[in-house]
Amino acid sequence: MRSTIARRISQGFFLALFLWFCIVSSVGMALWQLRGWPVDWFLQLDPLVALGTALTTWSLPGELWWALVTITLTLVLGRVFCGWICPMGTLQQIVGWWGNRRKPVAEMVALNRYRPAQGIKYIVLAVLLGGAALGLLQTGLLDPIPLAQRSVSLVVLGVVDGPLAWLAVAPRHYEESVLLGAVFLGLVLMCLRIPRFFCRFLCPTGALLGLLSRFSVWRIGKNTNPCHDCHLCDRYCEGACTPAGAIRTGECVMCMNCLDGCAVHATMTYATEPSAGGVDDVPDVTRRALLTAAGAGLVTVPLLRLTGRGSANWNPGLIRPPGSLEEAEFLGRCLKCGQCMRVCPTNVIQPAGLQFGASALWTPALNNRAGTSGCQLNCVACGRACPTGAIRALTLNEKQGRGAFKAAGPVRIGTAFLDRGRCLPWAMDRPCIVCEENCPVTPKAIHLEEEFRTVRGGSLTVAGVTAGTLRVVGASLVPDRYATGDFFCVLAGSGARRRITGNTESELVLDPSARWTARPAAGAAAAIQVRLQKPRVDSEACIGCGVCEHECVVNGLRAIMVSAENESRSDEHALAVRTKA
Amino acid sequence: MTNGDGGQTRREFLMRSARAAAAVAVTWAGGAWLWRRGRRTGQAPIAAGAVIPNFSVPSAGKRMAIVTGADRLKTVGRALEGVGGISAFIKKGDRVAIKVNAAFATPAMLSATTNPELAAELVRLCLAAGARSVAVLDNPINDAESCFALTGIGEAVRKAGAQVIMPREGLFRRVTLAGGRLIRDWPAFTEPLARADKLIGVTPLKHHSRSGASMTMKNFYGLLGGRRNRFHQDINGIIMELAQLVRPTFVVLDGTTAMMTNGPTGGSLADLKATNTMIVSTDPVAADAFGATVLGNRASDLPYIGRAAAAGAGIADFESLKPMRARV
Amino acid sequence: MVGLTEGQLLRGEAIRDDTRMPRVTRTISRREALTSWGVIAVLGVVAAGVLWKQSRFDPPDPGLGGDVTAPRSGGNGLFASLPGGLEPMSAPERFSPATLSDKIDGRAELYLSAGFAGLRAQRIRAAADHETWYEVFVYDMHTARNAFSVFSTQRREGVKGLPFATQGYRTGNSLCFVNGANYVEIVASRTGEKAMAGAESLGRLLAGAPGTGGGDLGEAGLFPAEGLIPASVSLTTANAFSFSRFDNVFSARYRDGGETLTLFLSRRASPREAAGLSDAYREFLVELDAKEAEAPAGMWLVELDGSFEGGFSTGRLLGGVHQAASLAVAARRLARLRAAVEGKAP
Repeated sequence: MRSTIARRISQGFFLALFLWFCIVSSVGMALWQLRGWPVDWFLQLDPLVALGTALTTWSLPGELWWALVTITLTLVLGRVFCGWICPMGTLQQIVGWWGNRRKPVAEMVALNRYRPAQGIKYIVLAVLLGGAALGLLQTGLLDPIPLAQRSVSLVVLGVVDGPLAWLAVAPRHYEESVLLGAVFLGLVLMCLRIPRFFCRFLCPTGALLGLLSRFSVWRIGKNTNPCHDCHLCDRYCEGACTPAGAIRTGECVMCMNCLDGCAVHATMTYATEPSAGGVDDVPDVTRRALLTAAGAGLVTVPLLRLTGRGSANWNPGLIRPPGSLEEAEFLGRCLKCGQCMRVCPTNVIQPAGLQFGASALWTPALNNRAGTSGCQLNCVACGRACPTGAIRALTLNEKQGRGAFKAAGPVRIGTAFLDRGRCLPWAMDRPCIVCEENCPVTPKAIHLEEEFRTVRGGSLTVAGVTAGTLRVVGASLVPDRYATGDFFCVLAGSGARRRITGNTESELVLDPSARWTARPAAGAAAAIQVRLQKPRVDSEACIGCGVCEHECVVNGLRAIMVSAENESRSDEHALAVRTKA
Repeated sequence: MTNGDGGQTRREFLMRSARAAAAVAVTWAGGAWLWRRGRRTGQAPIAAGAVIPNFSVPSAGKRMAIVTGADRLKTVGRALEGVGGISAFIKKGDRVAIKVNAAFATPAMLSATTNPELAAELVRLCLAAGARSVAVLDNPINDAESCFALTGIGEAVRKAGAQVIMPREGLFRRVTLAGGRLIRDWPAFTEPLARADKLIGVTPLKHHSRSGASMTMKNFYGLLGGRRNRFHQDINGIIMELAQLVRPTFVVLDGTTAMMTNGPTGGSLADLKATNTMIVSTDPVAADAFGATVLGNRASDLPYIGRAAAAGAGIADFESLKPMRARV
Repeated sequence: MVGLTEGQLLRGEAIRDDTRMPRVTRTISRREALTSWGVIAVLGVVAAGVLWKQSRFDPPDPGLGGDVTAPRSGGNGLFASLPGGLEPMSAPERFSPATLSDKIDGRAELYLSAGFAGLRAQRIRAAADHETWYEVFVYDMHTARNAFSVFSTQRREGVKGLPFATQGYRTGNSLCFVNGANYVEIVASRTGEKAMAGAESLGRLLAGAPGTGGGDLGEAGLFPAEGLIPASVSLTTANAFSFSRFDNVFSARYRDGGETLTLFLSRRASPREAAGLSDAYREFLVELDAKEAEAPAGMWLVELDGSFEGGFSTGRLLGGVHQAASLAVAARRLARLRAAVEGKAP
């Protein structure tokens, strides 16, 4: 078998595995659901994920040690990760091949020539690592694995599965889908013009592996057979690494196409000897440019700190998933990979837009309006899907504050605040207890306060009574408006009260199982009162799950809304002193 | 597959392999180190945090003086003599920190803040006793610059030779009171104290709607940083813990003009009463216990006094200190 | 070499003319072939590893992958053995007063206020047809009276009686009945005779099992059968008929000719109390402007707002009629009730 065939099989295998992981990242026990699939494996293999997280946390959380395997492969064999494994690379290669398959050889050779702009990716890498050195992890914006993961999981699956509804019962929604989709589509479609556009010019992981490949033992190069300068090796060169000349080892993605191109002369080899055509394994950027870029990356951190979003000016609208670390630490770990958003069974975890600041772009934030419900009491899927521990893997006991976690109490992600100007019973005298009914915690964080209020135009004069009815003077009531069981007839003076079970224009039908404790006389004043149960929030019981907000009948701007006050992850955001054990 | 001199090629290959092997080794060693480090720091306990030194002077003993009179400078002078004289506390070369109450940007006349003349007098007395430097500090509720300016404290103490330390972020450290329930991993204005040898608290005698009275123990609330207003939900608990956390050299409770109602801000002269009392004490609990009587309460009306005494922060039965009483 | 000039590009023979491209498949070394197969083998190992990892999944807790309504704890099943054709669908669940709202949420308050002690619930399904399943709720209400109270306050309209439980009824898709101190609900996933027959067989099984103590219902069994509207007996624990001293009153709806009326019974602590309460109730009605009407011996009847109310006491029992449309019917029914309960509670 030729190595190029083996490479294509490998690429196909890993792309399929990647897509499979994206598909199965949904809570459930079916074979096509999460179960035990190691869905974070590509993220764990990604060396930039590991390096960025190592810089921000000085640790290797979770199973990021897999990246060491990738680095080792690169140090021995060159950038095989890029050419044989990376699903983003494979996608680009497919699109690039499709778009350019009919082009004449000369044009292909020109397309695959080395361009100085390929140095940009090293600049990108330097900027991102500069930021990471001061604790801000933004590598995920352009790191191909997180980029592909979130794009495929959130946008591609959403677009494909929306009408099919094979994977999700209800169509998934992601607020940032347009921008996410545009970036992904743009990067992939650029390959129609220039093969492997993203890999060659932008990919910071490729840049990192390019730097490492200086040490690689095996490399592509020329042997001592005579080279006839036919440039057929350039024809399908994926890395644009000039195999025909002095090979740029750092750009070579190990596609092995040059070996096939050189079938006649057999000059191209993959061997341990240095290339007879010369080797250029230093990236085409100046040291000064790299240092400047890293400096720029460093500066972004104090620049972002200047917004005050991390301190006094924090945005309480930003509700992080349960188990999220304190914000600064969170931003030091979050890859924006979208795994939590994909796995969330209620779709309530959304990629944040720019409203929470530039550094929070595409990080997870709960939007209780967007999902099918709020954060589920019996679910800890997001923390278990998070590859870097930005969202800690909670157990249900810890999340609900049971067992060993009883003293610590439940994990709170915010607090529900009632808007009395919008709440139906508070503002409009209309009975509604939907938030209380749906509150999932025990005891309920939303409790009710009963109040009887005279309805508008409900002051009446008694005309006469029978055992089960009360006629009123001169009223023209809307028939059966008061038949819902929430309305009562109350006598002025004695305060005696009976439930109304129906009404005509001038007569109230009263609950037959009760009777007046004081007899209403003709001419006495009476009133129609509505029984209201006004919700109140107990901040000690509320965990901020947002089910109440989701269910609120006032379904535009909700009458009860969760914001991040009192979230467990920050002592600064507490509503009351937290006494610690 | 053969190019050039076989020996040279072989040497190059070995060199390159060695470099690659070294890089692999470094990668895995670094990875293992980072991985284990992550495990170790995974559940970091609350750091013990900074500690506030104990500033009390055991050789001076536990003493208290209550002097009546309308002139603060005279009463405080007499009261200090009553507890053994300033030289019993301030030694030559001491760096003294004075915690004033500059909580509000209100004029001195309203007695919501430490009287500037009294603060300045203490500065002069310390310097006269040989102190190397005197630092006056507070972390007020309102903007610090305006507080020190509008209360007159800033100008008065600077003229007397002290330095005013504004609460800059870099001067705060997270402190934890051993055995404490509230003060755990909480930012406090500790750096000026870390650079001081002696600490004096000087505060006006005030009614406080939340805690009953704001006196010498409550004065140290002004050392707390962060969103400390949360502690108002357990005001007695926090005052008790402050009394355990901060052990001053001595405290001065200025009851010359006491705020009897509408504390701690007051705002009207009608809230004030000339009670003409100056208290100096090495024990803030005793000072506050007596202060409560000046406000017309008993010490037992203020839960934090009993709790602080029970926690070992001082003695609530001030009479047992045999306070020196005088009138000037 | 930075970029190729046009001249350099065109120097190669092959590139000048596509038609003269050499169509050569590279001959490969044995080493390359082996390496390639080696790579394929590695992919196989990766695939095996992924499958192994997935198969080894042991949910650390029900949060991931597990049934989100997984039971808190197992415990004994509700049924020692199931009727033929039925099989368990889920493990039995148990709920305490603290966790009841996890299961029935909005209605928890109703049970908690009535002395709820515990709930056992389980899903059972038809072995042949998995679409037909039942959820069985057994509420331990501590006493039979409490069980009857929650039963009667949730009574549905237009229902049929049950052959195996005097205090019970069935609706289109559910059974509800009192069994000792237990209140039982069986809810079927679908309507229809076949589905309900399965529900009844489960109900019979539970009704046959002794309830967990708590005493009998007493008065509920004393109402005369003639004219009794099925499953209409209910218990009002306080303030019955708006009379503040009426607690623990059992009432039943009757049909007599074209009219409906209510009879009630309540067992008191002593004959004295029963007699005193009967008089107090009459005085309460008179104060509301009721007019005395002629009544059989030992009983009383009044007319209030066009309907008739009456009462009597015998031994510790207090009985009466409520909202009868005519004096004749009220008197007749009152006398029959008294005859039926005479001597039952000396």
